[in-house]
Parts: sequence; structure tokens; C-alpha cells
Amino acid sequence: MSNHDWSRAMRAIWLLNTIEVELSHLGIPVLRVPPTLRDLGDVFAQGTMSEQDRQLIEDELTRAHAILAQVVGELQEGMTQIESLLQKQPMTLITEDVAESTRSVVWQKL
Amino acid sequence: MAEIMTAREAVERYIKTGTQVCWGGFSYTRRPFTITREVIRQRDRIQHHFCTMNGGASVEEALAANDLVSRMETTYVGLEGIQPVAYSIRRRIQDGSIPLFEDYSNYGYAARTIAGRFGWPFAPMMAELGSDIPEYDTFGKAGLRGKNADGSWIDPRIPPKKFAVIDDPFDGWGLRPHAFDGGDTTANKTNAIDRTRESDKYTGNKGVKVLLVPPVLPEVTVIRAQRVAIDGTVRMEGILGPDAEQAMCAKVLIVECEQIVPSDELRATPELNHLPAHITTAIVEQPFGGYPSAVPNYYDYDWDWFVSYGRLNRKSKEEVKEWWTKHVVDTKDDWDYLQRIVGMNRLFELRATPGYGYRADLKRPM
Amino acid sequence: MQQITDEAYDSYLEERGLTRTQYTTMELLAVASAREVPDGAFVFAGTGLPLLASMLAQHTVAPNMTLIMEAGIVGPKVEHLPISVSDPRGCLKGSMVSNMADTFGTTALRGYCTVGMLGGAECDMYGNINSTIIGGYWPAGVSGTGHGPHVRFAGSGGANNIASFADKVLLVMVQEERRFPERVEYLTSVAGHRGPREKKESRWDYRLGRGGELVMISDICIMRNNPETGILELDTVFPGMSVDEVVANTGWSLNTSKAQELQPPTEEELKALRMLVDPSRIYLGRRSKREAAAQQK
Repeated sequence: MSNHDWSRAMRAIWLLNTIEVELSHLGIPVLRVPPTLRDLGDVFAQGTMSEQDRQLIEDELTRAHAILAQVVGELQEGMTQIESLLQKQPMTLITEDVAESTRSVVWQKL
Repeated sequence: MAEIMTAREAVERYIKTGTQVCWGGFSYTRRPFTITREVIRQRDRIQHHFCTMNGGASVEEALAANDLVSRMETTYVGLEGIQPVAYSIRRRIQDGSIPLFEDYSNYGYAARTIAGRFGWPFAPMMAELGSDIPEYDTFGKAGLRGKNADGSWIDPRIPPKKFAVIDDPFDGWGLRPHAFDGGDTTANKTNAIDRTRESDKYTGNKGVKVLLVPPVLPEVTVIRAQRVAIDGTVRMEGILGPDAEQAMCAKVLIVECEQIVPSDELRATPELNHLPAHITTAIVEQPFGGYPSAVPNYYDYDWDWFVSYGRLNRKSKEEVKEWWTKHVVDTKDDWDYLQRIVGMNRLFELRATPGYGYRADLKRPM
Repeated sequence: MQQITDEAYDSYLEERGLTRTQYTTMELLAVASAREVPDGAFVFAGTGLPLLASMLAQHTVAPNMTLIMEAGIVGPKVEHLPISVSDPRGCLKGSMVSNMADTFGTTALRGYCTVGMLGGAECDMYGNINSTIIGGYWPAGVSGTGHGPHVRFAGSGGANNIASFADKVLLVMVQEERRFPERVEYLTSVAGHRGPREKKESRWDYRLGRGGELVMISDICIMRNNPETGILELDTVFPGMSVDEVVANTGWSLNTSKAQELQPPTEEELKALRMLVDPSRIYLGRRSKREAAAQQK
């Protein structure tokens, strides 16, 4: 494969590697979510919380849920792209990356 | 403004005969081999350089094997578990083909980079006293320190003194374990600071002595980072070593990287970044270019390469240099080297295991 | 200690022709060094035997110790043996990663360098270590001889600094008379007391405000420095070695009056060393020169 093509292939491979690395760090707090939320559930169940305090907490949970849903959606998009690539179907660009033309000044100069 | 360029261009522009180059990374990790190999490719033009760094010695071994080192200023020239003393460097210091070598300890050199990083005229450090390290000043003996009759620096890259010793103006008050107020919480328990006051060595006065070192201000520093933003912001992952300090001390900074990324990717968390955009001069993108050293989270070191090179470099100087000619000089660039000489298969065999940052099941036979 | 099944250990021993009680020189050295680490210590260890010993100490006598790797890692939980202080394996699950200046400044000088484990090329009667040169320091550009030192070693690295800041230094060396002179030719690291106190040659006279306790562990014996004189004296002879042999391999007149016998490595110590610290025997598999020479006979 030409150097230029390997360069383009490594862009994808290293970007996915970055996601993998960051997700492996994220995995640690993510694993804590269910037990921590169960504990929060116990606090709710005690019934000693004021309406105002409960509302503050529910707002935070709603916000977190929306962010997780967004991330799940974005990850799903990535998976779909990978699947279509592995099935050799055409890809559509969805993210704003550093444009090849900007980054690849080296190829233009050769 | 950080400029993206090829390795060839970066070396042509910034590394000349005799340039003082500070090499980043540490031993087996994140060594800037893309630029190193390009310097070797251009060895006929460059001929030799002034090599300085705190984290030897794989890159320096390669450069010495190609007769590219005329001066060295450093702390350690070994390859540790695989070869206790880097043979190409060792034989040349012994036979004189590396004529000038200035010894420091890791902390002494690191203190110099702290002075350079903070813009201080010098930095204090409390080691090296009592040893022979301050007793031998190679550059001084060679007449390289200080000024000419006309007031110009003999060599502006070399400080006028290797070190200085002063009497602590604060009488040792700050030293730990702090025993004056009834004890300290440090792990260290021995405290003989009072006994050191009785000596008048180094300054001729009794009291607590402090060693001062001048900054190191390299003409060029070269480092390899995992990611560099297109604006020059640098983020390293895993072991940091002396890189941020050595980079900040330099006049010109060349950063080779695995990926050039959009600015937002690194600027989203500035507290995780190590170098600001404004100090980066040149960016060179070369995936796998740290080979054969390790780049944490990406790939491991090539153990087999180091073991077989450790046997090879004991052959005659000519044979070793011929090996570098065949394996590096005769390649067009690092992509050519990685594909043709190393093979992409081998590179992917070194891929880091998730959660470890290195290849957890890497076979390491002697 | 992690649970190691008898089956796993027996199969390991069989594959390598080892037994539960017999040990190699490397294993002996690692065990003897590990025993010197106090629990709760902050240990600066270089690669090779010092690292083996530190990791073994963590599994045995010093479970609360903190390992400091010179590349700037504080407290890693090592799973695979590093072969360099900068090996990414030494960074696993560390409490903090920092730069080189932090290792020696923020950690060591600031007061967290209890034990330093070092190697060296030469060690003299006061425990001064030479890891720089033999046969003339000056490089060719200034030596006037047309060449540099007869032998050039790796240099200080962090050894000088660790020896300056540690409360206690462990020096691990191969013992031969030529490597144990009365005085080192070049003083890289002051691990003990430099010279006679009455001549104002102690480490305190040279402004080193910590430390002074030195243990030298070689492949044939253990020496400790006398608290009064600073001179290394014979403490323990290893099995199979005679006191005379130790004296013959020491370049100064060695005091042997306190010599005792070694408590041999226990089964538990050997098991931890073999199964947890260096299962691939990257270092344990190496034979000392003495062992190799003995095997040839």
C-alpha cells in the first residue's frame, strides 16, 4: 500500500485507538454507576427528602441521562460506520475532522 | 505558529553540523526515532552534533553508531536490562572518537531543565556534593566556558560554570525532615543537617551548602508525543520523563507524533496538556515512528530488535555502520523504513493491550 | 499473598528443573535484598535485581511499601516485570506520574526516599560507588593521551541522587577483588560515609544531610557499614562460601568478627519470587559468573 494510503488508514486506526483508551478509563466510573444509583434509590425510598431537594437531584439525573443517550447515539453511529466499512459499503463523513487537505501539506509538497 | 512538515524538511531546516540537540523520551519509551532516523539518513551533510538529554540511550546509541556525536552532555549511557552500557557510545568515549563528554546525575540535569523551564538564572539542588561529579568539568578544561577577550561567549550554548556552591541564606530551615518544630511527617527519618553545618567545605564557611546549576538551553529539542493539535498544543500519555521541561528550555521545538488532531480535541481539557501551542516550531506526523521504542497506549517496544541489536553493535564499527546504511540510510523515509524494513505485521504485533498501555503478552526471550 | 495453587507451582518447577527449596544465586540475592526493606518504606529501585527485590519485598516483608520508578512513577502496581526504569510496565496503576525533577525533588528530596537500591561497577571500603569510569576520567578531547577512559560505564543516572537522599542504601554487586578496591577511582555516588571521620571525610562533612546506613549484598556475602567508622564489615556469609573466600575477594582488610550464617530463602519467599515477581525468569534465569564457571567444571 502507498505511504499516503497507509497514512489515511492510520488516521482511522489511531482515532479508534484514542476512543478505546479513553473508554477504558471511563469504564471505571461507569461501572460505579449502578451501585451508586441503587444507593441513591435507598435515599429516595427513605421518604425523608424535601420536594425541593428531590427536584434538584432529579434534574441532575435527567441531564446525565440525556448526555448518556447522546453518547450512546454517537457511539452507535461509529459502530454503523465500521459495520458498513467491513461490509464494504460506502461511508458518509459525519464529523468535523482536520481536513485532509490541511493536514496533508506534506503530500502536496512532494 | 507551529508548522506541519516532513521529517526531512524539519531536519534540513533545524539540524546542522554541530547543532546542540536535546533528545526527548526516556530510554525505551517515546523516543523520537523518526527524526533520529532522518538525521542518520542525512549523516553525510550533518557529520556530527552536540548531543544532550536526560533520558538515554537508545537514540544516542544509534547516532553514535553513525559517528554523529562529537559532544555529549548527559547522565546515563546505558540500555539497562538489555545492554548495561550502550556499546557504540562506550567504545567511542574510550577510543576518543567522542572527544568531549560532560557527566551529570539525573537530578542535576533535571534541575537544569527546571531552571530552563521557569526561566530562572539557576536552580538549587542538594545532591552531587560529596561526589566527583562536580570535580570534573570537561567543557571547562576544554576551554569552552566563559568569554573571549572581545566579550563574546566562547560557546554561547555552554554556561560559564558547570555549577556553583553557596551558603544557604536560610540556614537550612527548609530542608526535610523538618526537625526544628518537634518532628515531620515525611517517610525519611534521618536528619543530620546540624552536623553538616560544622563543615566549611566548598565555600570556606561553616553552614549549610547548596549546589546551584545553570539552565540547559538547547538550540533544538526533539520529542515524540502521542497527539499534537494542529495549533501545536502537545499532550503526552503515560510516562512523561523529562520531555516537557526539555521542550520548554529549547529555542526550537520539533514534535513528532502519532496523530495530528483538531485543536478542540486537546483544548477541551487544557489541564491534561503538557506544552502550549506557542512553543512548538515544527510538527511531524508519523504513525509508529517511535519504533523500536514504546509509545504508551499505542504500541510496545520491540524487545527482539533491542536484543539482536545488542549483539550486533559489538561487531566492528564499520559493520555496525553498514547495518545502519542498509536498514535506514537506504530507505526513502520512515514509511519506507516501517513498511519495507520492519513490516506492518510486526508493528501491529506490538499494539498496546487495552487497560495496560503496553502489550501485556509480549514475549521477551533473552 | 495471591493464591498460587500447588499444581501451578509444581508444574512451574518441573518445567524448569527447580525444586521448592533449592535456589539459584539470583534468587538468593533477590531474597536477601528484599529482607532489608522495612514495611512502609519508599523504595527507589533501578531495574534488574533491585526491582526484583522491591517487588518481592512488597509481596512478603513490606506489603505497605511504595515503589518509586525513576522515570517519575509513584506507587505502581506492577504486573509484568519492567526491564527499564522507563518501561511502560512500571507505570501501571501508579498513584502519580511526574517528571524527572519530581522523582528526585518532589519525592526524594522532599522526604520520601527511605531505601535506595543501587548497583555499581566498583565499591570501596567506605561504600563509595563508581559507575562511571575505570582508568582515567578525562575524555580524549582534554585527556592529553589521545584516548578516553580505559573503561566507560553508564554513569550516575539517578544513583548519585538516591545515595544522597536515602536513609538506607542497598548496594547489590557481583563480588570480585578488583571491583572492591580500598578506594574507588571515581566517586559517582556516596552511599556510605565517604572516608575516615577523623579526617573530616564523612558524608556530613560533604553536606549530605541524610542517610549513612549501607548494606552491600553481593553474590557471596552481605556486608554492613560500621556505624562508628563507616567501614564495610562482613555480616553474613552465603551458603557454599567460606569466610576466607570472601576475604580473598575483598580489596581491603575485611573485619569478619561479626560474621553469621545466612537464613536460607524460605519456600514462601521463593514461591512469591518465581510465581509473582519474575515468572518468565527474565532476570532469575541469568546465571552469575561464579555459577556459570562452577557449572563448566
